Amino acid sequence: MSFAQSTFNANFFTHFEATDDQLASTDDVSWGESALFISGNVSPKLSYLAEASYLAPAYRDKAFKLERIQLRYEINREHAFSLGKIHTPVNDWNDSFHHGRIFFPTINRPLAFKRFIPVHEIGARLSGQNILGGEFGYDIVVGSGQSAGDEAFLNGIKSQTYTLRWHPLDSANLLFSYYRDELTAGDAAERSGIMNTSGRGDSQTADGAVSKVEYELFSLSATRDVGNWSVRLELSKNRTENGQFNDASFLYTGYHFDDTHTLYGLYDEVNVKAKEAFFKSGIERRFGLGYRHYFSVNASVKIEARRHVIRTPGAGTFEDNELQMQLAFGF
Amino acid sequence: MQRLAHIAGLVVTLWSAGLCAPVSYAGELFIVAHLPDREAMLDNSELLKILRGKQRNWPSGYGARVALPSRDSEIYDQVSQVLFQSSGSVMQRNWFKLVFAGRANAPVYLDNDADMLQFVTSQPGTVGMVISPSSIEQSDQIVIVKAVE
Repeated sequence: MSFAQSTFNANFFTHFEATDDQLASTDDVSWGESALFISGNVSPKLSYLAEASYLAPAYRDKAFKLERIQLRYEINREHAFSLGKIHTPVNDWNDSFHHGRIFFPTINRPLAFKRFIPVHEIGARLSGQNILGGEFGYDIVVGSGQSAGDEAFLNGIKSQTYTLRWHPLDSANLLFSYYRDELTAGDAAERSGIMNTSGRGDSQTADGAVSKVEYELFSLSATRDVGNWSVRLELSKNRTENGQFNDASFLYTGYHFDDTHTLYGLYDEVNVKAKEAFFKSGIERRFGLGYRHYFSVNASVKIEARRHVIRTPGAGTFEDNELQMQLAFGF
Repeated sequence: MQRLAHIAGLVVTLWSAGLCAPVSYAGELFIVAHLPDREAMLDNSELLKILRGKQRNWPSGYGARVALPSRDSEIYDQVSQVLFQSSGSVMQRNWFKLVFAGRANAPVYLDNDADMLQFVTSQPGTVGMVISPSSIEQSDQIVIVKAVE
């Protein structure tokens, strides 16, 4: 029996933000990242997915970026093989949300994404779902590594990701992952932005002499929906060169008044230890309250009032009360 | 007084857990599936997994296609209550999320039972939901089951 017809699906996402804060890097009003998303099937077992984003040149060196492009082959009901530029399945946030903001539970990604999270990876992915009684899943990814940028396997296989998922209930998910990579300081790292999709990362070398850095990341994600409540926890620990562990934690708790109105709290923190050689040391913390409303399936507004604290060794403490609003659309 | 407080507490707890949410069905819903091959026979709960986006393939690995009622369909909210215990807009948002995460293929949205039945019967591997499947008959390939857990 032949597949009746191939499928094609295209969507566009964009958002606008207004921010009141003291950070010089933030505009009062801005047009955020826009994304074109394409997916479909070419045969019953072969599907494709591509996502490209645009951000005004004022905010990013490359205005247009190819965020994802992948082919997926279904080996059988439980297992699949993917190839291409993918979202690295290191935590549930990165595996669940694409670049459009309409589905983000908060206005911004967790702070760890600016520093430690390898958002994309060019490589091969073997994944399984609904195995071992239907409650478990896994992912194994071998990739080019963050320092290769968009050049597939520039230096061979440099990164590995091992992910285990457990969903004991429909409304509860746990994810554990281990990621390792060999980062390269210098041109290649700058080209890829290392751990930062926007290319505005604050990664650094200690004295310019470091050429290759072993990087390890351990992550735990937990999501739970109970009645009108939703909770999302993203924890991670990372280190370079087997050194001291840096920490990142993100907690979101939302109360849904109905299908369209949600009040939520967020706590977000990264802590880079003093002896860290590759990433800037210091503590950054955001916490506050937010409100989200879906006007329709295609449009949402979020408003957040937050306290933002940045402690940088040798540079003192920055503290600010922020107010941010985001209008997000998806068509 | 203490008993009244206990009852009030129980009501608040049940309400917050969504158990007191009003649910009304105009009639029974049926799952209609077009099996892609002989391996594909699945039970009711497995078909519901496909409709909820929890399972994207048939047992052979053949990609499952999902057909859902559109906003113009009279069973838009009713189907969503069965699948997601919520409104139709939540069903659409849940499916949006699944598609953009790369976890599922985009569903097709259809306006009425006639379009749904025509689509499912013409597309092997498709699963949909209708309220009145009487215009088609079951066969080796077309399966009709009540949409219950």
